[in-house]
Amino acid sequence: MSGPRVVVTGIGTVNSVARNASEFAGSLRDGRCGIAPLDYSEEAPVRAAAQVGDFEWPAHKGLKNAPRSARLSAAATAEAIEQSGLGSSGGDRERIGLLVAGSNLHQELVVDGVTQFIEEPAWLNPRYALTFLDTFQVGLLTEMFAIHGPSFTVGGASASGNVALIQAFHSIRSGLLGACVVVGASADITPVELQALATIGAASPGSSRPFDASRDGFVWGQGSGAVVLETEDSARRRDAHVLAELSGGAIFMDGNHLTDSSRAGEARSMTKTLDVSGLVAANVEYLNAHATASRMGDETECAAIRDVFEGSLDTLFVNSTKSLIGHCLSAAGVIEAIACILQMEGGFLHPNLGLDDPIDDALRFTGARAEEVPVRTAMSNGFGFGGFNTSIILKASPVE
Amino acid sequence: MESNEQRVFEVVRSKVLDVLDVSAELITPETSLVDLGANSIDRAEVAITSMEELGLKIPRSEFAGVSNLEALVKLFCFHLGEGEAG
Repeated sequence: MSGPRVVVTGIGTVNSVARNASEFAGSLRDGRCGIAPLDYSEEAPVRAAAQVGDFEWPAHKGLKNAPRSARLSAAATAEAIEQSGLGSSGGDRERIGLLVAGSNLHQELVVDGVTQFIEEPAWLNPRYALTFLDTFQVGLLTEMFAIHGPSFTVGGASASGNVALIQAFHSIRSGLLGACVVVGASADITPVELQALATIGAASPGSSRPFDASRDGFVWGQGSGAVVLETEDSARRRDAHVLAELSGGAIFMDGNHLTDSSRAGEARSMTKTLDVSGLVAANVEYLNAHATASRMGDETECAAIRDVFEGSLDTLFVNSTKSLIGHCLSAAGVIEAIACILQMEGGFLHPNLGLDDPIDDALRFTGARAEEVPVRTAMSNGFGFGGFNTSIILKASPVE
Repeated sequence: MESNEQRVFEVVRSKVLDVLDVSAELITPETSLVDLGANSIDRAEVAITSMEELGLKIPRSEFAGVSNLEALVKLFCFHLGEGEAG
């Protein structure tokens, strides 16, 4: 596929181990873990989460009484836009779009609203009419940053972040947009969702140990991430610093509405991504795995990685950011893309915490400490319930 | 203002402060929520959260003639009085 190169000129994140991208780089290198006890009730099946504590969000009227997820999105987006120099005025604002990755982002607010409604409908907060919609965030962020190009939410379950990055990539490549802000929104989930996720065996009671024989599911992580993508020319015109290139991405659907992962489907999203990027498997030096620490999911992903990278497994490092910040659900893809960029920039690969007994001897996982490795080409996987298989490839700056 | 009205006014004032970024001294009986920069959602939120705190349920149509905080307070006091009488 031809078209202009798509580059990253701004990144921002707030998560359980960082209030901004530079803090995140330090936490990744140090292998800081954001998982802490979660006290809902004695009987709750899930007893830990990687939550964001206090954080600052931009001063904006629309953020007063806004859902936590919207404040997290605003903080990450403000950081990314500031770094990119895109600002909130100037240039052709109709050529800038904004995608919010994720669905059902304000569940906490929904549960509170339902509780109030059962108690006394007349006292339901009227703001609920705006904030129960995920697109509240699209409206808010486009207002804050004067963005007037096509903007919307993008849903792909836990692959939402990658789906949105891939949608933005194609929108820029095709010429529809000159720049696009991709926001991985934090999912404000509640004990209701955690109960169901624990019952089906997806959520762990309290530890995140991707690729370890003792893994027992994912730990929910709060957090948001934002990246500014644009054409290389657009970045040059503003004299913006290029952090990385998004060289391609692909989505492959299994055709399955359930939770099952598919070795063939995952392999297909990785090979399609290599094709779109004009690369072969041996060019990729690092894989940021989806690896949620699910029993079946991690095993399936290892098998798919072996299928795709057979012949170059010795030169491919693999880790999972979810061992540090939990599974950030709809935001995971964007935060993990940011983790790839920060690791390439810093010349290191972050540890895989909790990996004492690796489930696959053929794969080269990072250990308990960061590896000092220069990486120029990284792949990041994102899979989701409903048969979503997605991968993207990021290349280090300077873009060659 | 009578003491009951004063108490209701303080409830409304605290709700305005929850909803809007304004300084407390700007919130007087003569001010309207529009003057304070409130949009239609902000105005509804002040009304509903005040009603909740006061234990009132007033139909939306009764707010039609309310043009400032004093009128809002009087509407609330009228319904509080009804409750006491009933």
